[in-house]
Amino acid sequence: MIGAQDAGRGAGSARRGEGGRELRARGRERGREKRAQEEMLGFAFVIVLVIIIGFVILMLTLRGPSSPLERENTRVNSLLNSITHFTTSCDKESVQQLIIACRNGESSCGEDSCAFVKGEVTKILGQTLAGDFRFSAEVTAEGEEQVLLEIKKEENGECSGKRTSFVASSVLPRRTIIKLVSCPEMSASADSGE
Amino acid sequence: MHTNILRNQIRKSKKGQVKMIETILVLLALVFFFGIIIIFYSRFQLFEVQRLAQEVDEERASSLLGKISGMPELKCSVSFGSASGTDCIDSYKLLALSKQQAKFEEEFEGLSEVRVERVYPPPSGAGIGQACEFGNDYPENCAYWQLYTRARGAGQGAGSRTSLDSFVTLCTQRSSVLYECEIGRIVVGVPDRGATGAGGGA
Repeated sequence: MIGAQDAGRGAGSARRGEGGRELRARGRERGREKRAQEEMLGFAFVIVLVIIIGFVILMLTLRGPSSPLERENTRVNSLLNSITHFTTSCDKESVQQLIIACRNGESSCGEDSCAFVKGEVTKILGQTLAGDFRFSAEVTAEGEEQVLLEIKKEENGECSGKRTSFVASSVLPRRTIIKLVSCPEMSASADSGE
Repeated sequence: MHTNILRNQIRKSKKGQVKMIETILVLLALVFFFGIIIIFYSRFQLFEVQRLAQEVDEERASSLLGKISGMPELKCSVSFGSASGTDCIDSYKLLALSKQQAKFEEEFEGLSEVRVERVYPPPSGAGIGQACEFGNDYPENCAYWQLYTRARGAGQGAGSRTSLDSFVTLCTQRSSVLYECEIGRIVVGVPDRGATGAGGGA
């Protein structure tokens, strides 16, 4: 009787031992699952972070084209137009007429037309443009390429494509082209406040 | 036996507490992090809105600038030769229009000022800072034409404003065949939307 009881107890503890192992194995499995879930969560968090940072960078880079640049271009264009039609003190001739005279090698008011125009335009640009500039009149006829006159103010380096520059050009009779490049020190062109 | 179970339970509950604290700390860090992101984003959005409002004001002023300088009431006639095709303003028309403030109010909504200045040759002597009025030496001894100024205290225009300018050719007819052109500047101002809440354009 006692022997049978012992045998029963032995079988019970063996069953319990098996159950414990199974439980431990399940626990380990659950622990692994939990760790995997945590890692997935971390990964998702990193992805969300990257998306947010990317979104902010995208918003910063995709800002619309700044309209002050367009306006400055229009301004330089209208200045060049005004300069060409400006009536000089020399026989009430316009700058445009004097440039044509310069191209033809004529003199105006007892002075070389090119030198007269250069002096006049230098004074005008000094009064109207705050930054650096380059003004030129060129002939671009076939087989005849010649710079008639050039006025430069380049205190902050060459006024070319390397700097923010605004170019305006106008075609005069006899294939004469005048060009004005303005290189202002960039700031908001619109002034606010009263 | 019982003490072992009790010890195990205490150890387990301590582990649970540590885990809970860990979770709470992580949650707090997350809330703090997202809070910072939201603050930065809202500040960025605020700047963007302010920048856009400024841009809209400038666009409005730019559009008005083009419209006003192209007004037939100001533009040079064909008698000014090649100058008439460009941004050319007849100084006598300017004088006539400077007495018609109501016209600007009727035709252009949301304006705060319109002014034309002589730039080159610069006004000298008694002309410095003088408004242009008809006289024998017109338009020699003056500096600017005030075409329009919005009355202050009319509920709008008393605050800050955005103004834009552009160069114009300022021509004066001397005789039926003779005319002279100089370099001028047209300045158009619009009240800031943020300051006045006034909307509308031309």
